Amino acid sequence: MNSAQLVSLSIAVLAVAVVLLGLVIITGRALNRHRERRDARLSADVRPLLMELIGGDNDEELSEPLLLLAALDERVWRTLEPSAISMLGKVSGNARVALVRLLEQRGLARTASRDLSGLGAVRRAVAAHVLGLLGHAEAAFPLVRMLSDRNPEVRAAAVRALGQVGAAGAAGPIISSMAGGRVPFQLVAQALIRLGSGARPALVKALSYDDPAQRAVAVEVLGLIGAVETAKVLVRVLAGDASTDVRVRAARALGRLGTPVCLDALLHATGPGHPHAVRVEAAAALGDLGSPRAVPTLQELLADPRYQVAHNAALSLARLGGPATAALTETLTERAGTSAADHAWEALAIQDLQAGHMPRLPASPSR
Amino acid sequence: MSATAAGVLAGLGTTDVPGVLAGAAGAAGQSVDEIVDAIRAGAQWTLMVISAIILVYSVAINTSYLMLIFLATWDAIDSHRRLRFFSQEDTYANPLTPAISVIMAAYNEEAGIAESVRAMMSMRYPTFEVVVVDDGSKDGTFERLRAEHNLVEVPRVIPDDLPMRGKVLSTHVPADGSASLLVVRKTNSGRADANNVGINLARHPLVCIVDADSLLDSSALLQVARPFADDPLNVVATGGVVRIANGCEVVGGRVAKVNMPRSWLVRIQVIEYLRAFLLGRTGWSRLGGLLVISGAFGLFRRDVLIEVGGFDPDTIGEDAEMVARFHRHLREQRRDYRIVFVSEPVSWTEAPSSMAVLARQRRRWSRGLAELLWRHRKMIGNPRYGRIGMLTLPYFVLFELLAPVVNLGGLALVPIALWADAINVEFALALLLASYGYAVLVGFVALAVEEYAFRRYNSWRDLGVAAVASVAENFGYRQFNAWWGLQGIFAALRRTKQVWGVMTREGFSTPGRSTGGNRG
Repeated sequence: MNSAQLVSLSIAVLAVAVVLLGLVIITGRALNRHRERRDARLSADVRPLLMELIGGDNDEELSEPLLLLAALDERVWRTLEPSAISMLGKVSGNARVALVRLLEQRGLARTASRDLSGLGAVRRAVAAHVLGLLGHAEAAFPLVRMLSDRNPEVRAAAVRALGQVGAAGAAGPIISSMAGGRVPFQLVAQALIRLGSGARPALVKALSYDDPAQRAVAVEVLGLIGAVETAKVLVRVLAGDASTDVRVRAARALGRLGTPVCLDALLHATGPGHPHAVRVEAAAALGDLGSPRAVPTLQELLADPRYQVAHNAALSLARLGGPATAALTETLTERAGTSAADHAWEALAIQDLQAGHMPRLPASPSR
Repeated sequence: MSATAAGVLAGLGTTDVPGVLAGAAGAAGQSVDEIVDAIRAGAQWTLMVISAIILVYSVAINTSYLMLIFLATWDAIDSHRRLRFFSQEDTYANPLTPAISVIMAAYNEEAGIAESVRAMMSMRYPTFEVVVVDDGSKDGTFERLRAEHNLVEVPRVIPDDLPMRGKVLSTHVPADGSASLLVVRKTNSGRADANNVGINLARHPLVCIVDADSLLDSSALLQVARPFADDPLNVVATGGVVRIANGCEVVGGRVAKVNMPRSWLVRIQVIEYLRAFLLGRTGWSRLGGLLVISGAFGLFRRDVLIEVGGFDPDTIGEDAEMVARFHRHLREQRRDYRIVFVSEPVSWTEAPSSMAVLARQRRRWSRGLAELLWRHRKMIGNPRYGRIGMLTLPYFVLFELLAPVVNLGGLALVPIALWADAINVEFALALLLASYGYAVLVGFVALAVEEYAFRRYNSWRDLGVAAVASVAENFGYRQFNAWWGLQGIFAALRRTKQVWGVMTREGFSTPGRSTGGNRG
């Protein structure tokens, strides 16, 4: 082949490739449109039945649409199934019960349980997702097995599903699945929050694990589920955990729990002997906790040289309302012209706004 | 095939190098004709070599685009798979989803600021605040905001985590005590410094930088924040896609219907944004070498922004420079980190619709890139900086910074080389093919990916327009772009005064309004 022929051939190859790509684009769009129209046509008649099902209040109202939907032709059902699954995550009460009954009658739980051992990762992840949405309690054990799946998305779907299924016994394995960052922190926390009080023993046990991420998730969840009986344990974490991040989360958790023992620990944690991040969080947590006993300490913190500590103290004082107002006003007069007074002005302005007044402004801003 | 390729290369001309050198060596004692012949032969040889370099360069640059598009396709397939077993509700309902401070630096945005802020405040995200920094606007930007949100002045202590050049004049919040909006008035000091002021005042751990005139999809924050939720220890920044809003229907500060723009100049930019910004950056993200997060839509960890010193007001491409500094700082500290591009949440922006404004924008981009590469030259080819040093930055030098030089050089030299018999017609055709034909193919591949993965343009007409624009991009637009790029490089070399320039906006079309929602 000479050079002219090679160039001609290249032009031809490029032209053919461009035309083929054009055809691929056009065909893809045409097929997609055809599919959408067909699905819309097939589901148009039965979609109202689905609405009727989730809108029904009693068994009598539910029985007819349930029977009709359960007996739908497979081809028609396939067009409706994605909507039904998607609704499952958005409805509650009777509507949810009715949808679960329908999907179980359509064999979705059976198929998903079988797919958990499928070859494709997408198939396994979708199966875990569906079982979670259905709250299929029998799936708990196989879902725990999926926590060690080789695919990260399957592991994530399994964690989420275990939280939805409400398998309290899975709390330990869920926490263990975090090791080495194999499952996202937030997902684990959310699943454990869903498990609620049943997860407490496993969470307390996790506080002594070596992995700081596992301790962090345990601390965070104990605060979020309001496990007040664990406050003393969390106080110990705040005082002495090796990880600053875990201590920061412990401060936040104690602010949420709000027992007297939490207050003392948080007041102590604002002291100069603690890491900056812990002091910042403790100052904020005192606002969450809402005790007037925190006012003197917070007032002192207004003069802290670190901005974030003083700022969070001001925000906490603003949240403490009446008892803090006097302390803030006192700071304005006694420390006029200092950064403490500036922070006090800011806190008073927030209080004014919350009370529906125009915020007070310093006569000559020292900002 | 290699033999036939050698055939094409044989068309480079007949001059052999030793002959040229010998001719030159003996030139001193020979006649003027012989000297002229030797010079001619030398020129022919030079033209021949340059032509060969341009051919190889064209093939390499288009192949690199193609590879980035394939990587982006892989990413898009992954995202679509994930949709079947992932719901945004998980992020939305999770109490640990990190809160975001959205920073909007505004300068003379009176026409659209109220709608932009309203749209921003109605974003779907569990906890976020909007911090508008009015950078010394000379129009009624602040007054519009004050009227819209019933703002009152509050005394705020301004932290100095980042240095600020402008002076903060006042801070304002809605009178009803809602804490989700803060408006800061300051003296004019440029966008980068305004962003730094916003970062200083941001209360939340993640900071989202958006343009005051950007239109975000309502779930954009949820999606762009997802990598932070998935991998909170390592992800330090994410960037979202920026698409072109010209021609789209805008309702309540949101893009309600996506249409192709009416002007061919903007239509071509739609294709360019698709190929270079959406697919190109997704590809780089997949490689772990993302260098550019658009200033129009980027999410950063506030603590890392503070560590690296915030945006640099002395550079014109401050968004890319910031990302380069992230890489540099975190690599030097030997920390594990990830900077991720998310291909689905979209920020819509108005693209230049006149040649003059487009020229200014492209000169600025090119100059920004040149300055970035010069400032971080230590990283280029340095294994200490991993993929960013060994792959991304060398690529940007070779295929982004130098592309205008090669493009225009090729355009000028190839006809001369043909005329001077340094190359034959077949070789010239091969060059055209490698440069333009291959580029058209790359454009069509990008269109195919758009069609299968994103499908934002729904009408058949828009599809046809996009196909024509993919071809048209190569004739005129590319050459002008290269010229402006070259001007930007020269401006960087001469270190002339940096000018951001005015972006003349035509506004978006809003159904039911005869004049459209003009944005200034």
